[in-house]
Amino acid sequence: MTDLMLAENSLSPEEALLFHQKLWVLLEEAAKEYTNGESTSVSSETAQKLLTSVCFVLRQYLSGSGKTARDLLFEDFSEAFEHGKKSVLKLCDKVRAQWKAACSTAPKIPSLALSETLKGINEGFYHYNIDLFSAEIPCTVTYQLMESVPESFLGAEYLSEYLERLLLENYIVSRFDPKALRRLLIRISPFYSEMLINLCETALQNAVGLSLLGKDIFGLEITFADREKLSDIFIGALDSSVILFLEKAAEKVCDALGFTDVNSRGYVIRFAKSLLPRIKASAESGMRGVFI
Amino acid sequence: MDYFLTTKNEKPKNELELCNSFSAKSELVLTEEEYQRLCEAHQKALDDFSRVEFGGGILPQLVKTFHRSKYINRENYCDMLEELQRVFYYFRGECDGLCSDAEILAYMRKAFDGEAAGNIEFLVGTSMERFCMKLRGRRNEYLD
Repeated sequence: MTDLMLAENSLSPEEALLFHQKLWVLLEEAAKEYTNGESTSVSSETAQKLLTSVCFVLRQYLSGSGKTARDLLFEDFSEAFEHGKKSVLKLCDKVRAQWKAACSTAPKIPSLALSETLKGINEGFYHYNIDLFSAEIPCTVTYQLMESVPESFLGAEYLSEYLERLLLENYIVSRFDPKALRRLLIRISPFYSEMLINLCETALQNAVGLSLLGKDIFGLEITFADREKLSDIFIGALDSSVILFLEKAAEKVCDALGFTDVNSRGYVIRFAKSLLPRIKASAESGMRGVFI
Repeated sequence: MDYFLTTKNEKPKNELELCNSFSAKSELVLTEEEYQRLCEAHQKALDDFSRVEFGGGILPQLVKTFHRSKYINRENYCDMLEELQRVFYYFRGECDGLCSDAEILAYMRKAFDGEAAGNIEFLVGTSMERFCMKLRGRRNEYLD
């Protein structure tokens, strides 16, 4: 974590030493607070979490102020840390707003994983320790997105990115008829609501399949005959050809969904392209497990 | 673990003087050589028990707590401190979050001079294990 902070700005060895000395003072204060001043040592695991959180807060300060690690060298680290905490609090406000939006736009289709995740995020606000463990994610995220948030995102940043992606997925799902999506989910399992199924992915994979066949994507229904036609398209095709087919199909899906921004289109197209391994694995067995 | 955490463990410059000032009344003194040996043992204990130290180390407090023990004398002073230091860090990890450094040291001294009768193995295997179990039991009661 400190390597990353330092490498970004290529500090000289002397500057790096000064940086470390100032960082150590912050870490020492954090450890003292953690132990209530009752111990001179903490476990390595705790020390690492404290260090990651201190660096996370300082990063928030740097990105909020447009400064670099070199600029920070000439500042009071404690003051920078306090400013950083204010940035983290602002980020929490953003997460709260995103959470409210995610709840209000959540699909009206039962999903235990999604409802538990949203509930957990709300409860997490009460456990989020900005002073000591701001880089930790204060809740369990069960509902997996189509595209997971990278592990480089920490704390409130992770939650913000997660909810941003969830909002997009909620919007995609909202474009489809809930009854059509429910029929699709029941085909997977009558107990779909208790399973770790991503609703958006379920809708989109069939939408991409229907798009490849030139059919209306909003019906979501892919018949046995449709799967055979899709098999014919993919059997023996080169990977590069499959990727191209999927990309074009995804672009048509985006057009039908009314997506014009690069971000949303990119999300759908990347998902479509990620179907390649599953398509390769099931092309000769009727595309089961890819198009439902 | 971030390499940064492994590179920082500087002892305060006057730590040896501080230790000897605590034990002066017992006429127990650490030489520079013995102090260096204890510093190396300190680092080894931190490494072995995966701990990161802030602000020097437990040695001065260890000296303050144990220099009056009837089982410590000039002949075994450095050896005993080395072993007790290691015992401390082992049980510091075992009791993380359950008690303070001062409480661990106080119990160690009481048991060392009492039921352990100066025997480190008894201290570790019986007295301190019992101490940890009591603490964990108290924490579980609190959580229940």
